[in-house]
Amino acid sequence: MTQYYFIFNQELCTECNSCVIACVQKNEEIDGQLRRVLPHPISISCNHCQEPLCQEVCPVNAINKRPQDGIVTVNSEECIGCKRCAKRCLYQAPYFSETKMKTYKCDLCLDRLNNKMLPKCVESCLMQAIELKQEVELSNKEKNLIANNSLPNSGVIKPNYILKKIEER
Amino acid sequence: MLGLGKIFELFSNFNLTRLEVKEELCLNYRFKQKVCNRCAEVCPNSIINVEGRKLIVKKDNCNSCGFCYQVCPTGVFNILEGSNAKLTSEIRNLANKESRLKIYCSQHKRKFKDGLEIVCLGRLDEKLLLEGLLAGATDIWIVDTDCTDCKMQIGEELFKEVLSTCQDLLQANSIQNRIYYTNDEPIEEKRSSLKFNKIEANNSQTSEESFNRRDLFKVLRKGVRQASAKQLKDKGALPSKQDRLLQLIKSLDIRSTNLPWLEFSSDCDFCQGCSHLCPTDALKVEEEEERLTFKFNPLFCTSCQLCEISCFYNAVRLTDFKNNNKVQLAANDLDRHYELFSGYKARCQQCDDEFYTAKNEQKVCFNCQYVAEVII
Repeated sequence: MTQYYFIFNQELCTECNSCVIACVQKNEEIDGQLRRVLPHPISISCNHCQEPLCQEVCPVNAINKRPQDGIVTVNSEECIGCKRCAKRCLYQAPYFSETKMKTYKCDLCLDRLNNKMLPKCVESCLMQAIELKQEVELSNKEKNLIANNSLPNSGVIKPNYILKKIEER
Repeated sequence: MLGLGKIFELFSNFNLTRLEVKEELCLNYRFKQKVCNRCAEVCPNSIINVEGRKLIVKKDNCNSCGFCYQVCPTGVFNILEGSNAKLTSEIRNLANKESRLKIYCSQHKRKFKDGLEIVCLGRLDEKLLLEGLLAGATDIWIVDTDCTDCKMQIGEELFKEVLSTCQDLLQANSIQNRIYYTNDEPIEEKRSSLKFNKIEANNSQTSEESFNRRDLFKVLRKGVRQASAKQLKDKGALPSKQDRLLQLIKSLDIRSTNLPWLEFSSDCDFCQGCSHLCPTDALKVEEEEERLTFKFNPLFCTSCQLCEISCFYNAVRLTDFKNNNKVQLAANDLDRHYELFSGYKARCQQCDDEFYTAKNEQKVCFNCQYVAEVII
């Protein structure tokens, strides 16, 4: 299995929100946003955790972690809209659509990945602050960052998200 | 060109398929965690296989014994050769001619002429037997044979189950034993009253009240509309097997006590997974002001246990219907759902979200509870 990792470099981010706009444009039919920019700044979406809480709580097993690349997807045909996953996720990644009464979440733009293109958010980032790498491509420094991840509660659910902090001045 | 291959395909389909399979109704398809392979266990030619969530059927080798049809709770299978409609009409014809209906399997060495020959006794279901009695036969003799060497041995067990439920149903309406399962021809009992026919006659009289033609069509059209509206919903369709039996029970007005029932415990967090998965809409949720109620109709339930398996907190349990005084069941209560369990809206003190609960003094929602337990 080659797990995908989001790498976010705080130093480069200018809070331009272009990643959010690109994501919303790509997922027009969902009528909501799957990626957010928090004030620090942190651009965050689904982290495709190693042990996803959303998958654990789904009553109809509609959420799946793909064994080949570790992408966590929702099967919208099976989803019954109980909102459990949206409530329980610590990073609020699943989005409950009121119009469709179903939950949607980031799937790393699977259709683009299959055509060997990068996800929309990564492509749209002006400063290239967001990167997407596979496990094999990570450098030693980045592997170190995974071990002591600074996201909250990362010890329990192991999010696959690498945060490069601004060095304290 | 219209494609010779296409026409040939059509012909071959027409000739070869003895079995109709609706995979979307299969329980394995509806819910991943359910593993039901009753059809595969029962098939004498082992042409049915359950691999993961898929049902693999080699239709060509089917001998239309009907065991899979008999056993499936949701009605995935439908037998095309020697279909139910055909058997019913044969039984009716025979019952009109003679007072005793003979049914025997085709593997039997003793040959009979006047009677119904079927592939195996396991093909018979409750409706077919009761249909014979309703059509005018005083009793039915099913010829018992030695099944030890037969490859369709399982059919005997299936048939015995059907027979026992049939006799339970009949007990309410007649004292006399009407279905015999013996080796030798049973002696006819003298006090054979034709109670069944009377009931049916009564029913038909009430339904054919003096209508003129136009009125009749008005009434019919209403029924058709309702029926089509029901069919439009993808779920909520009763398996044809159960539907047929229910109609018959309705005409006899038999009250049965062996019905399934559900028990809820207060651990339920109202995610509604069980009601979404229910293949026949036996369990459904109704929302009123500040209140969610689970409603259940035991006549629709096929005891497939999807609700029990899917529940995250093991809050639903499938039990036998206990004849308590509160709920009196009649067979014609098809539209009636009984209230089982209800929860009230509350507001979480931690996350300020609305949630439903059945516990009186719950102040923190299920999600916050979980987070407090698991995560530091």
